[in-house]
This record gives sequence, structure tokens and C-alpha cells, in this order.
Amino acid sequence: MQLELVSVTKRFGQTLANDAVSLFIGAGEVLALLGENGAGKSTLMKCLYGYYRMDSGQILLDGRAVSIASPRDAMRLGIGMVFQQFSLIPALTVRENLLLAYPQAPAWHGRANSAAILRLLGEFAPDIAADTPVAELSVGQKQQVELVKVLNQQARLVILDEPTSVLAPEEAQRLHGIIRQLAATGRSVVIITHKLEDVRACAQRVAVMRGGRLAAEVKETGVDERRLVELMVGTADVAPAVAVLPQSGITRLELRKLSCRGEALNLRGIDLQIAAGEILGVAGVSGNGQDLLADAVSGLAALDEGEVLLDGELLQGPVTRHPDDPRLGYIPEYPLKNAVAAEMSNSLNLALRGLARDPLFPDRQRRWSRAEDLMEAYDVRPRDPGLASGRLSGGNLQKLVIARELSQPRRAVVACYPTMGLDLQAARAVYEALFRQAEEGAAILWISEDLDDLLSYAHRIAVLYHGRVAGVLPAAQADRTHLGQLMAGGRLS
Amino acid sequence: MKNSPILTLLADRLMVPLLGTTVFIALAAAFFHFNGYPPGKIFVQILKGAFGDAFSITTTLGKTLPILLCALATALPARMGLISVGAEGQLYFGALAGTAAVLAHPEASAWLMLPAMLALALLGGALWGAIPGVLRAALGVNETIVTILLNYLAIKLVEYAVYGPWKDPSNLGWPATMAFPGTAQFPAIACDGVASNWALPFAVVLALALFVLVEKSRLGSALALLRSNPRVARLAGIRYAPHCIAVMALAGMLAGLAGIVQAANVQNHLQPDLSSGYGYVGFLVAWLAGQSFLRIIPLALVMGGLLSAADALQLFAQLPYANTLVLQALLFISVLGVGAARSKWRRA
Repeated sequence: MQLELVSVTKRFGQTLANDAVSLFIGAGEVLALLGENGAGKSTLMKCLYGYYRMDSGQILLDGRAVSIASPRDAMRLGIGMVFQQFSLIPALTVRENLLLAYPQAPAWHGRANSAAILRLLGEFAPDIAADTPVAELSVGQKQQVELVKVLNQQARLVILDEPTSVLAPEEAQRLHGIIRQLAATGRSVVIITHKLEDVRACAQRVAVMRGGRLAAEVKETGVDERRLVELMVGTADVAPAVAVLPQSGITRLELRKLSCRGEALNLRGIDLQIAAGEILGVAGVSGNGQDLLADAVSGLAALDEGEVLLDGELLQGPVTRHPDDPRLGYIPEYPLKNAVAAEMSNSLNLALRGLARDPLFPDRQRRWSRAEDLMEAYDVRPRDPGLASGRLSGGNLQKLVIARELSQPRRAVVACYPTMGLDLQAARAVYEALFRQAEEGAAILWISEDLDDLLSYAHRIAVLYHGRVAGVLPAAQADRTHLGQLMAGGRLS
Repeated sequence: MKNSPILTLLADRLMVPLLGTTVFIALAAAFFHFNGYPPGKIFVQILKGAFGDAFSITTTLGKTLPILLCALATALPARMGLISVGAEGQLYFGALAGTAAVLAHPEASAWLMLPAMLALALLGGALWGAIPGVLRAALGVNETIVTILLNYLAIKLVEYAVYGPWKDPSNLGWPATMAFPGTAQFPAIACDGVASNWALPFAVVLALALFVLVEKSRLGSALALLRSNPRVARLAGIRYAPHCIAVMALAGMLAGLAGIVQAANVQNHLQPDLSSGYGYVGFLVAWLAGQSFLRIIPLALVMGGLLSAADALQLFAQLPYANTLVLQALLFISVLGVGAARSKWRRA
């Protein structure tokens, strides 16, 4: 199947999201649609999928003009899309979820037609057992089920919207493999992404979008990555300045024999000291207690034993907990679930940290204008303080949380994957805000899976393995192999 | 032609109530028509029965008060995401506790009697509300189920009291306490033959105060935050448990007040049929009003009028009381249906 978009234009009110974009997608081809948040890549693909109606333009399928007014039309033409948010039912098994979305699903299902439904699952994700409840799958596996759902509808072109932004590195590699496999079976794939890694791993051709326009189209072979970044953001310099460790040596944040029970695993005997101005990176394969560590230090999780001290003063212990302490900044994982009240306005979510200490009748005008300023400074779009935060896109929501937590001086900051879902420029802004806090004397506990970033910007790196600290190394003496061994459960030699 | 923003806003605000009322009238007319009653005549009767003369207005206001208080007692917990169906039980238990004060010292002067009766009624209601609050906060027990069960318990306790130890022997077997003395009644207000008592304006002021508090104050934001994301509320220094218990207790007080007014001023005894389902009608009103303390006031009046008209219709037009339940259901369906349709249409 060959597909061509001709001069697609889409407006949202005043905003021109797609400005006469033309794009060609060949049969069996993997096309990476590369661009920053808000470059218009998702909008363009949602027009193709019939989710949005384009204002003008044409879609040619094998040279013939087709009209796509709804996802149903797109599906009938063999175009499928996997979104960032999954639409699986967690309580049902993989088989049941696939059955629900199967076009010719019979009212009564037995072994025979079950095989037809599961054929593609076996082909593309053989390690997923059909009778596992979806709730028990990892994020990557859920995504694979979602993909099979789309393939079951005879999709010959699959669009993946930022598929690797929610995945751990090894899961992303698995997905890259599946994408190559899709192409090998003659299906076309469009992967919407802002990661060069995705381009490197599986794309044959790259289309770069910037500001709603197609900035360039290049073949992957022999592509200059610096050039791609330049095309994407308009400038090649995206590395943030490195924070310099001050020589103070005062311990600011101290974790003493911290133990804490979690759902999946427990933290046991965590001892860490972070000096004023120091950035301590925490590396580890996800699921080794990172989220629990962040919750424990910020006071959301109850400690069984041990304590967290800030400037020698008890901050969190088995009895006392102060999650609202204004000296502590907290950027949790999954902001929608852990950092904002989705139904409430941006204005209120930005003022949330001080809410209990506000006067009985707070000054709403001031809260509103402060929200406007913060949203401007941290580039949260749309810049509407009255909008419910749950309606922001993932990247903008993350920026909103960053604005709230890092716009005031803190003595300590716990940051859990703070650049998740952000493009290069936004990520750079987050790092800079984080480093500024460090320069002003805050102790930073920075949890990340990106070893390159940890090695470049953290002063020391602690490795978390099975709820314990497997080792702490000065970043200058650490390297990927060494950290990798610790992350896999090896010991310090 | 461009619409002025004020007109647009006004149309926006009034659309659901107006359209909802229209749908309701159409459905009700159809219902009466197919049951062999002339709809036009019945509607006039309903209006007369609700607001036609001093007597019907008095009855309407008398029913509006407990409905209003019970609606407030439902809406307040709903603001933090708690679905309480417990106003009925809180009403009964508040009345029971308040009656204890009356029976303990029936000869006490009004200056002692009224505050003591009121205080005990409020405490009783608060206790009955706080039980599901504590269970929810401490053990995560579903508050809806607990409030429903406690309704039965409170009603049975009142029955036990008035059939048993508190029954006035001079009643000759009629299950009720002795009549409340005049010192144990809320001061009456009367105007052009319409009679009520000071609890009614007080309840309206309460509704307005709650409106201001929930819409404009930090406390309202705290409740909304707890409803939306209790975990994130911790980061704001707002804890679930104390809010949950306090809100449920306060709601209980509101319903408890309704109970004691009903016993003291309306029925003048504590007796088993203390409430004609005011707790549940209040629940409907609260949800009809979308938990807005402002919208609850007129809706409580409408519902009070409907119930009062039902009595009149039963007497004068031989229309069975069950028709009122049908009318309530039709009102509920019309308003909620139009509201839901509008928000769906808006999203699209």
C-alpha cells in the first residue's frame, strides 16, 4: 500500500497545526516522523486516521483519492493507529481484549476462532500468554497487545504515536524489533517520535516537522544526527550546562537506614547523604524501588524504619511525615496520577503546594496572574490558567509540575524521571532548572534511567537494585559497563 | 451577527434548567394523559396545591426545610467525592438525641430547653454522620453502603424508643412520645397566614454560607482536591482522614437539625413516621442541583411544592400518591438527561 498526503492543512482556532504538509509513505517502509512537542506530527497523523478532519488537502491511497471522515473509515482502508494512552480493559485477559476489538468476532467463541484472533499475537509477541489479565502486563507488553489489536483489523499501515516515550530501554529495543518485523511482512509503519534513538534503530526514512511544516525529508542511511537535531529544533546546541559541585561538603539531605514496604518490593536499609549543591543520580532498571524511594523521601510513603533528615532536622520518619514541607521539591513519576489533580485548573494546581497554609479566602487574582507568569516562563501550552490540568498533553503537564516544584528555591529536590515525555529543548530547560536549584544550595536526588544523562550531569551515581543501594560511585569514575553490572545485580569489585 | 458575551453566558446557564423543565412538563403531560387525567387541569391543581393559598404555602415550606437540609447534608460530602445516602438516618438519630433532652427535663425553661435540645440533636446527627466517616477514613469502608445501613438502624432505634421506653402511656397505644412542650419549639414566624419557623431562614443562610465557603475559600479547594486526587492533596498538606470525618459529621448535623425541627415543630412528638423520605428526596435534590449549594435552594422549594401538592391531589382529585414518585422520577430523568446530553454535545 502506498499512501500520499497532499498539502494537508489543519487549524485549531487561531493555531495553524499543519500548514500544507505533503508526505509519501511507501509499502513496507518505516517512516519516522520526527519533531518537537507541538510540531504538528500527531495532528497530521490523526488527520490521516480520521480522528481529526483536515481543513484542506487530500489523501491518495495507491494513487486514488480517498475520503477519511472517521477512524472507522481509516480502519476499512487498512490504516491503524496505536495511541499513547492505551484502550485496554485491565480486568480482562489479553484474549478477551483482543476478542473485543476483533472485527468479525462471533457472539459465541470457541477454540477454533480463538486461534484466528491469537495468530498475530503469536507472531509478534510470542512471550505474552493469552490468558494473562492485562493488568499484570508491563507497559511494553500492553503496547504490544494494543498493536496486535490494530493488526487484527487487517491494518496495512500502522501509525505509532510516541511509542517509546513510555517504555524502559529494553522494552523500546523490543518494540524496534517488532517494527522491523512489521516492515518485513510488507506493512508500512509511521513512527511519531522525538527520539533520535528510534530513528537510528528502525527507520528507513525520516520526515522532520517543525512548527506545523515539513522541514526536511531524508533517507536514514548516512544521515547526520546533528543535522537532524538542527532541523528539528532550529539550533544544534541542546546540551544543558553542567552543574558544578560546590566544595561546601555540608550534608543537606540524609537518608538513614531507610526501610519501607512497597507493593512489589521493599526498600531495605538505604543510607545516602547528599551535600548542599550536589546532584546524586539514582540509576537502576525500572521496578527496582525507584518510585518507592521517591515517595519515601518526600513523605508520601510510610517508613517502617529509618529517617530522612534535612539539614540535620527530622523530615520523614516512621511516625512523622511532612509531604507538604515547602523546603522540599518533588517531581514524581506519572504526573497525572501523582502530581496534579486532573479535574482542577492549572491555576490551582500551580498553587497547590502551599494550599493548606493559604488564608481562608485566598487572593484568586494573584493566584491567576502567578499561574500566567509560570506558564509563560516554563512554556506550558495552552497558556490557560483556567483549563483543567488533566486536559494538558503529557509533556505540558510535566512542564506544569516542573514549574510548580522548581520555580521556588528549595533545600532539597526529589526528581523522578523529570524529563519523561519532553522533547530536547524542554528537557534542557528542566535540567537547567534543576541545576539552578543545585547551584543555590539544594541537594538533588535525581532518579533516571538515562545513563548518558546521569553520567554527564550527576556528581555521584547510586545504583538501586532490588530495593537496596548496590553501590555509589563518583560520576567521574563511573562508566556504562560498570553501572550496567551493578544494575544487573553485580557487586562492586 | 455576533452574540454578546453576556447573552451567550446567560443562555448557557439557563439552557439546562429551561430545557429540562420543558422536557419534564412534556413527559409529565404524557404520563397524565395516558393515565386518563387531563394534564392541564392536573398542572393547575399541582400549582394550586403547592403555592395556591396560605395553607398550601405553609405546607410547602414545612416540607422544603427538611428537604433543603438533607440536600445540603448530601451535597457537602459529595464535594469531596463521598456519596452519602445517610441523611435519612442522620435525621432520625438527630431527632432521637434531641428528644432525649426534652424527655429528661420537660419542665425546663425555653432558655435552657432549646439550646440543650438543639445541641443534642446536632451531636446526634454528627455522630451518625461521623460513623461512616471514620470507617471510610480508617478502614476504607464504602460510605454509601454504611450510610444506607445506618438509615435502617436509626429508624429502628426510633421505633424501639417510641414503642418502648419513651412511649407516652396516655397515648393509649399510639407509638409516640409525649407532646413536646411549647418551650421545646423553634420560634415561629408568620406572615399573611403563612406560618413557618426560624429554622427555615437559618437553613437558607446555611446554604448560602456553604456556597461561599465551598466556592471561594481554601476549604472548598481542599475538598475538590481530595475528590480529585487524595494522594496529591498530601503534597498540599491536606489530609484525607480529618476532612472525611469532619465533613461527614457536619453533614450529619445538618440532617440532625432537620430531624429535631420535624419532631418539635411539625409533628410535636417523636414518632415512627418522622420523615416521609426527606433524606432520600434531599439526596435527589442534591444530585439534581449538581451539588451546587445555590441551586439546591430553589430545587428544594420545587420538590417541597411537589410533595405538598401530592397531598392535596390525593385528597381532592383522588390521584394516588404514587403519582408523585413518578413525577419525581420524571423530573430527575429530564434534568439529568438534558445535562448529560449537553455535556456530551459540547465535548463533540
